[in-house]
Amino acid sequence: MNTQPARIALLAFPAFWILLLHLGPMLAMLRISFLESFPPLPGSAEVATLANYTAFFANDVYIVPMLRTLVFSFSATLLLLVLTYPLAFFLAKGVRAERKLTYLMILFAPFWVGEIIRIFSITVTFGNRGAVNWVLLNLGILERPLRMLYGYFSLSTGIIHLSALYMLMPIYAAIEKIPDNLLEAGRDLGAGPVSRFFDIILPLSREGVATGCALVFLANVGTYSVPALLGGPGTSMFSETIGTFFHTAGSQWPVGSAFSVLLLTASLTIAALMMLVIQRRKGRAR
Amino acid sequence: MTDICVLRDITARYGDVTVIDRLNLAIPEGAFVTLLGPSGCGKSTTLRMIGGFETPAAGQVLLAGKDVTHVAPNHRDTNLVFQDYALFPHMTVAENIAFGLKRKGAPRDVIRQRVDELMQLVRLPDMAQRLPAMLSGGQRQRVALARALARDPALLLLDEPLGALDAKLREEMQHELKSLQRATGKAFVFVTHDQEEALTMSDVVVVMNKGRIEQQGAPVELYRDPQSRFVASFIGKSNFFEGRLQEASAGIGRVEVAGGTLSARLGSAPLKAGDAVVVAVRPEKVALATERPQGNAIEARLQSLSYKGAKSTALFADAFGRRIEMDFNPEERRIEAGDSSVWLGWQDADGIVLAA
Amino acid sequence: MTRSFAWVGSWLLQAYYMLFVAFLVLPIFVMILMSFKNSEFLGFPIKGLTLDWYGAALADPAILGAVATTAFVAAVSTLIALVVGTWAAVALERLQGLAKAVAFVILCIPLAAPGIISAISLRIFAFDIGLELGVPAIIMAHTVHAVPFVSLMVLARLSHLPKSQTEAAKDLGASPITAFCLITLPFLKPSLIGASLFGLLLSMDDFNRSFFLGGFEPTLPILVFERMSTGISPQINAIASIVLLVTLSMGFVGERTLRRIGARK
Repeated sequence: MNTQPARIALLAFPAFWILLLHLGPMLAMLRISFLESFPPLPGSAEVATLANYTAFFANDVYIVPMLRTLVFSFSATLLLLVLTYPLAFFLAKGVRAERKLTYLMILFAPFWVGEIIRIFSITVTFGNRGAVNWVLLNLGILERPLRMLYGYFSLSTGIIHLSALYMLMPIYAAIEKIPDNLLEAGRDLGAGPVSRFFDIILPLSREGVATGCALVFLANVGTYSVPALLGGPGTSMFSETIGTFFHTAGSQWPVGSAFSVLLLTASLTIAALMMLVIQRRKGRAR
Repeated sequence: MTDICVLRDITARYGDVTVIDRLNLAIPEGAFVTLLGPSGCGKSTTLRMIGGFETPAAGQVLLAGKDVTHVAPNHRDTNLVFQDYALFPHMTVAENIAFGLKRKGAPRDVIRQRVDELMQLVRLPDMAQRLPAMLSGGQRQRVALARALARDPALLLLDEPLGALDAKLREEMQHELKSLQRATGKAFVFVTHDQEEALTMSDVVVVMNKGRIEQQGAPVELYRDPQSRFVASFIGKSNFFEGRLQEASAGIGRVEVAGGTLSARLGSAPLKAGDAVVVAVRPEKVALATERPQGNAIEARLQSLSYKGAKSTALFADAFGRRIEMDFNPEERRIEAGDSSVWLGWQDADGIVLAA
Repeated sequence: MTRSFAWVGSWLLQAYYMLFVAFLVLPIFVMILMSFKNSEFLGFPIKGLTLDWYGAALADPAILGAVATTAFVAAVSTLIALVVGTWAAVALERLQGLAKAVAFVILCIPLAAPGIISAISLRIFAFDIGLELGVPAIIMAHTVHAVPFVSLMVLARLSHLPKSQTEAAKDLGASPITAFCLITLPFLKPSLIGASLFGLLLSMDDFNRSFFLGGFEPTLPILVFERMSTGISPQINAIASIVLLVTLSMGFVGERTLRRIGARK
């Protein structure tokens, strides 16, 4: 039995921690996004303003990367869903139980390597004088090197390499949870493999798909290294825009914060909508 | 005999639901007391309040005369054998049994000696270094018992400890538990929903229903003199005939039921003429006749027969839709399946009149 | 396994799985190959092999410094995150209803927030509390980032601990703290090992937070980033390959340990 003081002692520290360090930074960001200058000029009080927000809507230089970020992140999310779903399905229901761990380990191992190193390895592989071009040239498939870096192709490759796991895992977990006897019952009731997939597996893995899509979308929106290292002048993303405000000390922070708040709001809204749409049929009482 | 544990006006609530309602109970020293009832009757909650895992919303728990209502389990002189045994999977049998002694700060050699002694007591030789996962269900059960007894508690609590065992092992353990209880001389409070288990082992059975005590007493008393329809149906089986009490005299009541009148002993609850009542009759007291017998008689037709070895059951139905069960020994008499109506009867003293 | 999809499982998806793995592994493989190439020029074809780049990398004080910084940051932040994350998980397990849902959402903010936003909000926060950019700020940021992962991994296992286990310990005279140390912690051991491993990798690999909260002592990813921005040199291949070797061996050792623990149970 937990006595009241013991319970309070148990809860107080984590409550304090998450309020301060999880919520605190977000609130700090929100706060300075409304400030005219940060830190306030010596001798003057903080002045609240909406100018940092209106700055965004005043200039194409900001609006275009924002839209590009959202559209690209969304498309990349769908691409990842299509690419990884068959994998998740195969791992959950197509591999014998005793081999499952090996299959998973082999697939996961590349994800232990950090993002910068993986991005670097992509530049080495897909560069004009990189391995892929060299092979294609020598096979006579290409006459001149194909420019694969610093455009949407390399961006997507980077995203796939970095985010596939976040899509795969929730879907795998959801399909794994579907009891085999449901599939057997489906078979017993005359459902073929196609029907078993579309009528049983797909609807029952909805939750995993929703989680995966939201996670991957948020990760895509937030990546700074991928556009910075794999993107080109024509593909600059909003995370880079935000980054530029923070390379210098304080003075530009309010604008950068306001832009971050806008990006966070937009991406959370889209992530939430994605989850709603994917889960729409989930047992709501009429 | 003094009482080792007393519950006074205990009330327990989960949220808005009252699961125990002003319950009073005394556990005599050295007695094997069983709390018996269907699931959700509050028996486990009662046990957990004695052990300190729940705090009553109102009322008092007295242990050896001291109020322990708000004392945490680790400071309470009771020990519990859990339903799932709750053996620590990362500790050996010996470490499990020694756990409670170490918490007391007992010296090493004392612990070792006590552990050996307990392993002898529960008949688990040479198992000291095994992990729980390597033991059979019955062996785990014994380790759990030894572990709970190690601290020499004033009162041992057992929460449906036999539920996970198969029927044969279960019966064996029932006898073993009873002899263990005699050997240690401790009071045991045992929780079960299995009435046979309760009747086999207990000195006192406390029948609970919906958070209240329906009746308590020795097993024989409960079987012979149930004081409510619930007890009559929960302990053993009973045939019930609903009716209205016409008159009560000299301990015998006359009850008007559909199709006639029945006579039976009056239960201890005060009843008066005109009350809605039931007559409860045990299946083994029902006798079969081809002619209408003297006294209690019900005309019925055989519905089905089920053979159960030494005791078989015949199920009858009468013209008023009542179903009557009769137990008989198939070695002694034969009942032929057939459609003709027969008569069922019993002695007045074999029926009991209870409030409906 | 179910035989319901045997026909798909047998070859079509199998082939796709291998293709996907190849796609993931190819660049890493090329990078390792390049690290042995005996030329300044970073491209194909490879005419001869050398270990010079490894020698140069291991003699570079900037790289050695970055290795030390990375290891220190990872060790400290993982240790703190382990304590806080476990504590938070145990606390969360006690909560119910709305309080639990709200606490869970707040707990998961650093996990779900887009990387750039997490990084810059922590930078602002560090400024607000007067924390200079540099190693302590990175440690704070990495700890905050790792806590939800630790908590989720601990929670997943904690939910399988029967309540009767800790109750039995208390029944046998253990105080709540003793019961936690003797029963709950040993039960959590596999997930704690997994969480520390994950925390270490998370910190060693982190770019966003290290980049925006870093001072003059870069962690390895930041060093690689800086060198990439100033021009690609074969030395980066060598550094990257060393890091890769370290992370992969950590992963495998951890995996083996977990499996051994799993097998003992």
